[in-house]
Amino acid sequence: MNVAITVWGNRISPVFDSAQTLLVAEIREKQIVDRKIQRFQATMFSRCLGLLQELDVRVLICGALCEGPVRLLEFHGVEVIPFVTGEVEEILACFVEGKDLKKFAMPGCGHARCCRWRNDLPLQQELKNNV
Amino acid sequence: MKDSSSITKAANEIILESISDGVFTVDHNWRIMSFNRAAEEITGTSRKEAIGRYCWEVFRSNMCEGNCALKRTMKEGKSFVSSSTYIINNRQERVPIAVSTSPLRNEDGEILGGVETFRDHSLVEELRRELVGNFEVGDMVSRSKGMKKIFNILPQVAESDSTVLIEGETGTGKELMASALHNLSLRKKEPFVAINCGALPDTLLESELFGYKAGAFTNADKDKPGLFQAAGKGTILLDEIGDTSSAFQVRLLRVLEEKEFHPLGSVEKIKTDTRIVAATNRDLSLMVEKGQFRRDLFYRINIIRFQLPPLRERKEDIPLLIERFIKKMNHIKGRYVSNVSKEAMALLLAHDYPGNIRELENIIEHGFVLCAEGEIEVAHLPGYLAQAEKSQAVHRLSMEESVSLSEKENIIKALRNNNFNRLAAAKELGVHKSTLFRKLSKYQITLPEIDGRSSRKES
Repeated sequence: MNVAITVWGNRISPVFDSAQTLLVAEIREKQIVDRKIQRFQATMFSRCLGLLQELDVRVLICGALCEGPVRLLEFHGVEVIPFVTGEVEEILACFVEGKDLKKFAMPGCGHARCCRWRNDLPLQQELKNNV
Repeated sequence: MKDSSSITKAANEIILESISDGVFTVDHNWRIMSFNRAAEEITGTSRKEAIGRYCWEVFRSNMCEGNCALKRTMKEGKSFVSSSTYIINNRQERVPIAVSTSPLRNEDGEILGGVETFRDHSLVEELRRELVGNFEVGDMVSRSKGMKKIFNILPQVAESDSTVLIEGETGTGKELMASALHNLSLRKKEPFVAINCGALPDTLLESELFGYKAGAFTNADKDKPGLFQAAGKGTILLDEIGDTSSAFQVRLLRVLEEKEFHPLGSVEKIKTDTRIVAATNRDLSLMVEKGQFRRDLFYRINIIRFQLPPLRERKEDIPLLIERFIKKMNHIKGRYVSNVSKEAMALLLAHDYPGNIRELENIIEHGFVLCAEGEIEVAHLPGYLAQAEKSQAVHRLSMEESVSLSEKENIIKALRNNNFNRLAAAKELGVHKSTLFRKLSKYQITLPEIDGRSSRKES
């Protein structure tokens, strides 16, 4: 399974729309077996969607993202975990282990709709059950 | 002194809490030090959660990553006022804001951090949309004076139930207008049907409009209701009415006058309460004068007449229409095209649009084929637009050339008239001799060996 993270230095990009770099990690049996950095322009949304599909990305972990694009991504089979903040490696490690990402939630998102780091997300379940 | 400074501090806090602009301060590590009430409201993040966090985690603006105003302020020690941007609040919504930043200094002028103030522009955006809404009726949108006059009387006309004639070139939105008339009328819950009369031969048109009885003609094995019956108490648009035959016009006149019609092959009349809106791209009054359209029908349908102006006469609507089409196509095609570039807009504004609004819509659709997102550039537009502009430029150039040519010819003629005496030629041309010398050099006019002055001396 491939997971993509919008990166800004060693952190997650604060806002998806202005992100320019994507880290794509291939996860197999709770291990990262491959990773690559891809330049992209999030403002060019349909191209970005095409890129995610081309890279066979099933999960996108990113910073703040509006509801409309989230729905569109999910409609196209990309599970989105938005409003995440923190250091990329730490977040990726937690994700690979199937751990809850709630502690990486952006401030103000604790009880709001933007929180998507529930353990009931299908892929989180999949990870827990050993991908 | 101590008391007064603590009062000032308390007063400052009260002021900060009572203003409607969001304000926060950061230290050198970009950690939020203070966060006022308005900032809580605009971002959806409580002060408790915000303080001590990185500003970009709380503020979530599209400027944070690459174009941070606060970073520039801290670096240059300068204030920046009112940059427009947006943030994403905790309800996953974009909030348009205006941002100002200042360095935060202590009494010694030392920079302690930065202060950012931001104003929610959602209301301004809403008002802007409301203003745009004033220029909208149904699916029509316009800012032009001519269209605004039409929009102003359209609701009254819609309610009046009278027959309406809409004239306008092809692609000016006659059907949209008929539909708007229907939707503003008391018949809005009833059907709206449209038929292009020019596209069908008489017999077919009549059977479409009035229907037929079984056995009326070969293969008419069962009754078929016509559009008048389908429309019921609604509205029917008879488009291209100027292209109908005289025989059909007589039948239509009877329907209008008697409010009843015969389906083909029927001996019984059917009553109708359908409102008729007629439209044409031809000048019906001129056709009446030439005997090409029945005068009686013209007066029967010409109760209220709207003349829709062509797009070339309402060019101020082009940006508005482009915005509308982009929004519509983004929605249909799932794209994120933002706008058209300045150069493309200039080209679009320079075009004459013989196909009117329909042509503009097709041009934007062409742009969508070649431009997936971002701005539609000149390269994304149909080639004929740039070609037309280029040929106009060539035409302008040849005008300049012809002026130069004529000037050169006049100079040579004046020189010859005055036996190549430059001063006399300049006088004849009404210019100073230095101007003449400059022109001689510009047009590379070589003078003969003889000189007007010397020849005069000789003579």
